[in-house]
Amino acid sequence: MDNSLNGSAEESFKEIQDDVFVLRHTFALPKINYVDIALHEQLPHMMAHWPLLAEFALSIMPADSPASPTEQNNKSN
Amino acid sequence: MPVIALQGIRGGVGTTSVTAGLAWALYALGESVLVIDFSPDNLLRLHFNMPHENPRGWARAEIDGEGWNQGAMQYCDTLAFLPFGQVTPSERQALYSRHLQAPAHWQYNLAQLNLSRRHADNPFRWILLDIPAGDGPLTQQLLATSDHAILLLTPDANCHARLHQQTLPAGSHLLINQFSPASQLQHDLNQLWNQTLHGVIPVVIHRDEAMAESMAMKQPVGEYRPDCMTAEEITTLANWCLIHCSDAVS
Repeated sequence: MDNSLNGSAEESFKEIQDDVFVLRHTFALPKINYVDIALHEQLPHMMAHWPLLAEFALSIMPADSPASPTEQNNKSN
Repeated sequence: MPVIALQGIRGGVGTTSVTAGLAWALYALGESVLVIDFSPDNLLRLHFNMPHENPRGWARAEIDGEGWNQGAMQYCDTLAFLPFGQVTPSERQALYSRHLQAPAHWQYNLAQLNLSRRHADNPFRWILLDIPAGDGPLTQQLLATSDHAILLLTPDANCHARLHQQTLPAGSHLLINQFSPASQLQHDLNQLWNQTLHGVIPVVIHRDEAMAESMAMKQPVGEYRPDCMTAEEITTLANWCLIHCSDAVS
């Protein structure tokens, strides 16, 4: 993502405006918390059924959290 | 004067129709609303019965050397809209270059609106911004200026992948739109997002033919079919905004 928002920095007022703008405009990845529902009854079924969902869940879960059943079902393993 | 930016995580998630519907719902609840289209597609105006060939809009006005607010159109007594306006591709590029040079341009414009509201020149309490998907310079400028950002998602694999790879406006509220409960995948994603994502607005807007028809009828959905499911859900969204987004009222 292009965050180079400085534009023309000739005037100090504009520099201040730019700084405020950049500070206020902070992009971030959304907070996704799979750990909270790792034991949720329906999550394992969901992950077993949809490989894409399981892939993203595994990429976020810490190593010591309960493994998704998709690991056993994944044909590539 | 709360400024709410509505943006889709990608194109095609229904942002413009929801924005028009939300503007109408706030108006129907007795609020005064100005809704501004920042998409060069220039389609928001079609929900407000504007003739397609009419070139009027803020971008057209800026290019013609007029004030950006000269393109505003009154729809009802306390509901107005400001189209993007018809511009050529080269004019659009020139406009974007100008926005890069003046990153506080819209911050200044909206601050002027807020100031004029204090002097009773501006009758609008709510400002809604229909922002195109992506993170171009104008989008960044508008998100930085807004008091609240609502990001629209459709529960499909495409949006789910984007949630994991795409940077989003920090602190944005997430709104699920075009939900089809008969779809197993949509059902699962809706459940997953509601339980794992922060900031999901507790109002789900279902896929509804009335919403699709409303643009063909050149009306906001709440005006076209006030009793349909989508119109009622958007009214609930408007009430949610009244409760959670009124803090910036001056």
